[in-house]
Amino acid sequence: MMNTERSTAASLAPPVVTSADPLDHYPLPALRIGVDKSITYANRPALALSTRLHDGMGTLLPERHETYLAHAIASPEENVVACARFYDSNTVLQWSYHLSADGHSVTMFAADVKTLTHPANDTLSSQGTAGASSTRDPLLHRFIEHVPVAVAMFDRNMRYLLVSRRWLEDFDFLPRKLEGLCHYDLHHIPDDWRARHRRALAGEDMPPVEISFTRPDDGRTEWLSTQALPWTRDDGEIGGILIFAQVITARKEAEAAKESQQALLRQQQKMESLGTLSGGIAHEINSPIQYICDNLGFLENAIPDLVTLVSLYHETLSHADLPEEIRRRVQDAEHAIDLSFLSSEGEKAVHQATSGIRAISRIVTAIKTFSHPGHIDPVPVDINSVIRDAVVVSRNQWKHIAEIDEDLDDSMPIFLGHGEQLGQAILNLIVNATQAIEDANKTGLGKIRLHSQAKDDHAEIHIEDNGAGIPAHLIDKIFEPFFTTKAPGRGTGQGLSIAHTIISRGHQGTIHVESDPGHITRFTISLPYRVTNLPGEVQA
Amino acid sequence: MTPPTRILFVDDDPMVLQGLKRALHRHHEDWSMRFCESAEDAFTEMNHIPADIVISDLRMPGMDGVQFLERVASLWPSTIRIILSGQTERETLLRAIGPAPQFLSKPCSAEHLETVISRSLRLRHMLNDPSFLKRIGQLRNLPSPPGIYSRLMEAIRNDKTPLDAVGRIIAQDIAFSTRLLQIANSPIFALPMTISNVAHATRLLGLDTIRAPALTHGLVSSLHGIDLGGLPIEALWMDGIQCGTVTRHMALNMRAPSDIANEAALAGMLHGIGQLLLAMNDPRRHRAARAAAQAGQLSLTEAEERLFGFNHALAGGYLLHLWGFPDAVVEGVIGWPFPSKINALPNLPTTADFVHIARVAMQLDRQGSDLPIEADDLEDSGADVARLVAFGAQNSLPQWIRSCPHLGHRPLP
Repeated sequence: MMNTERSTAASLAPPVVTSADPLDHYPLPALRIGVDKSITYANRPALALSTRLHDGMGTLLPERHETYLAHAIASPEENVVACARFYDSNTVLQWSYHLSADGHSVTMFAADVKTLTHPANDTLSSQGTAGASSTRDPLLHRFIEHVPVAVAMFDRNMRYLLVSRRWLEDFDFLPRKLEGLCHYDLHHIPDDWRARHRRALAGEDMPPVEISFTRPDDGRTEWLSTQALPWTRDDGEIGGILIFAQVITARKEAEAAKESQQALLRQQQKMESLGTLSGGIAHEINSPIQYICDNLGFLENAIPDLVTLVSLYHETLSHADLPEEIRRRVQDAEHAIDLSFLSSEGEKAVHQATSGIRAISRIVTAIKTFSHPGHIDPVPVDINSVIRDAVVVSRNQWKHIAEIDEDLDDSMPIFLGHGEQLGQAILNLIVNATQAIEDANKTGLGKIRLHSQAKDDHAEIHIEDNGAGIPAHLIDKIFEPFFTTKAPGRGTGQGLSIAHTIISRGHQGTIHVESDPGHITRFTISLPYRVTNLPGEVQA
Repeated sequence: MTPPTRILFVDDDPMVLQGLKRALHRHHEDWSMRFCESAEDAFTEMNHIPADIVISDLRMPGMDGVQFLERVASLWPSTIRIILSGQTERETLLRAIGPAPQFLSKPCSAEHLETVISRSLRLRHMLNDPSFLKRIGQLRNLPSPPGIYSRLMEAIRNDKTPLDAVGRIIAQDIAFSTRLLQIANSPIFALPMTISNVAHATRLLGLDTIRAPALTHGLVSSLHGIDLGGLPIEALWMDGIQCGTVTRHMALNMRAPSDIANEAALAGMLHGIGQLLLAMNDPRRHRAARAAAQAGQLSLTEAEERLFGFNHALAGGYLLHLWGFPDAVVEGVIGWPFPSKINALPNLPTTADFVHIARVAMQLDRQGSDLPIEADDLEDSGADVARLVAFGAQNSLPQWIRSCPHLGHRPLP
């Protein structure tokens, strides 16, 4: 909605003493006049109006403008608007006059040239402008000026007819006068907005929509709720449209913050029910695991003992004087059961079964501790085991996509925190890394490296991947709620924002990211061991 | 030859029993093991031939583990009781605190079970040793568990809402309420907010933690008006509380599971309780021991050993043993001055090691020693360097001290 002209106009208020005058870029004639009526500045379109100006600055203002100039100086509160020719120019222009803040000069702007050269073509222009209405209908003028919403009335050509003061303030128009100027000349209006205007001009009520735009001056994203309605003339024809616009950026930001809190809460609830479930499962499978382990432990000792004993029998057999038939029976039986295979594989089988049951036990424990309903108060946390649990729990996500390399500092001390939430944050970062690797579409497995390091007063954790990476222009946005580059359905765009909330708000830590797209992306988390005032569970 | 140790296993799952039977078969010469599939059967077995050790599941049809162990405790008080349960819910754990000194969760490796059993037997052996009993017999005055402590334990065990029940009991005792709030708000706990009501304090500190202050408070108030030879009770109090929290921190840093760290914390909080016992039995002699320790040549425990023939750690551990505290806690209280002396496994830290390391950390912290710490400094401060080195504590201690919220009330380097 805003373009550079708008910001130029906005910066007019103080007298500009720089060599580049902001009026340079104003597309229509504009001049600056000293209180002694001498012209101190004229922009390019103004110079084109009359050769008189080419004599140089200091030329006096044409007499017919003096009255208006005096009026503008005498009553700076009022919009002074007048239609007049300029020197020998054939064109009648609509001018507006503004006293500068310091009172030393007056700026005069011209409005749309085309409009006023053919005044008869437009019924409305014959009624004059807001300036004119101020004299004809002061009550209406006051109403429009003071109504506390940003509203503007346009004719069929999208020229301003009336605007509220709020409109001017919200969109930084002060002290410029808009009446008569075309909306589309002043701003860059996106095509979809223009389409809405056309539909309104065709008679359709366009209900409020929420749209975002980027302020050209500081690049901030702002949100607007805007509505366009047609208005009809006495003869029943559509005379133009009314646009209401409300800046709702603050509300939008609050909503986004709340939404990210709620997403965190939802995720916590999800983990909590998972925790209850896996707690139940853990209980059910603890007994079987107990006896599987006991039995395997028994076999682990029993099998080598048996193998030793069998070889002893073997030896005895070779020395003993036995009938050939018995010998053969033994040999056949040995052959049938493949004794050498049994002896060599039996022990290994038990070993592998043992490591399998340990893995099951570890997974259940990890899920259980991981999704344990959050403690309200901080508890001692071993960040390394939090990282290990997150790796175990997310294994299904990354095992076909990446290999994870854990490099965890053994001297990492225990510190107070919310373990299950930190696990959540790290899980989110692992999932994020996995998806980045998928996005890179490389052949073979990607690499994720999890690294922890105990510093003097804080723990540092790195999560690195060699995935697609984050382009420089997006790197500031990735922790914003709902920011996502993923295709719909692949992510809600909340993972990193949740991680950020947990680390910064929940633990007074920091998280930042550096990325060399295609090579390495590194998230660095830093968590202080001692926190002055660790809040309870992170909640809305 | 000593008769085999009689061990009775109770679990409603026959597979668990058979698994244990196989896994522990290698001890069949030293241990006479019996296996019962219900508490009722086990009860009959006990009536027939009592066991030295009972290891029982909790959740069983018919008589459950808690009831069974309670009956064993009252009928065969010298029998060692151990729970081996698949339940890990905290509530259940707390209910079990009273009647079952040891709590093991499934899956529990045969090795761990062996460690626990051998520790219990070792302690039993030591505490029933005639020469030890003769020495400790000088302590004619052995207090019974204080009323408030018994009431709390009773509530934790039997009430469906232990936290509320405990809150009510504490609130009835104004002196103890005040004490509890004082503890909760002391910088030692480093809690993030001011605690102004007992229920909140109970919730924050946890039921395990509250046991120690309840015990100490009850004991101290029962000694009101008794000459203790100027024992600085207030300092003893806060020292115990701090030691408990630091012990938990150290245990967790040494990768102890949280239930073991909690037992260690309890031992840490109560590690000095024997001083009360010595002071009430012989105030003058204990004052002399403290004076000797202050003079600097000896540590307090060494001075006590010279004057009493044993130190307050042993006396305190003995008392807690009589009161039915878990063996892990008793071992911690007895063994903390020099863990090498209790013949624990060389590579497995015990409760005594955790308390010992916490004491070393507190001492270094109070001295404001420069970090890192030199082995000589440790030696001079009476540390059990061999044990510290065995668990890598010597190198990691500075880091553990820095990260401990209960230490360092001096500026960090």
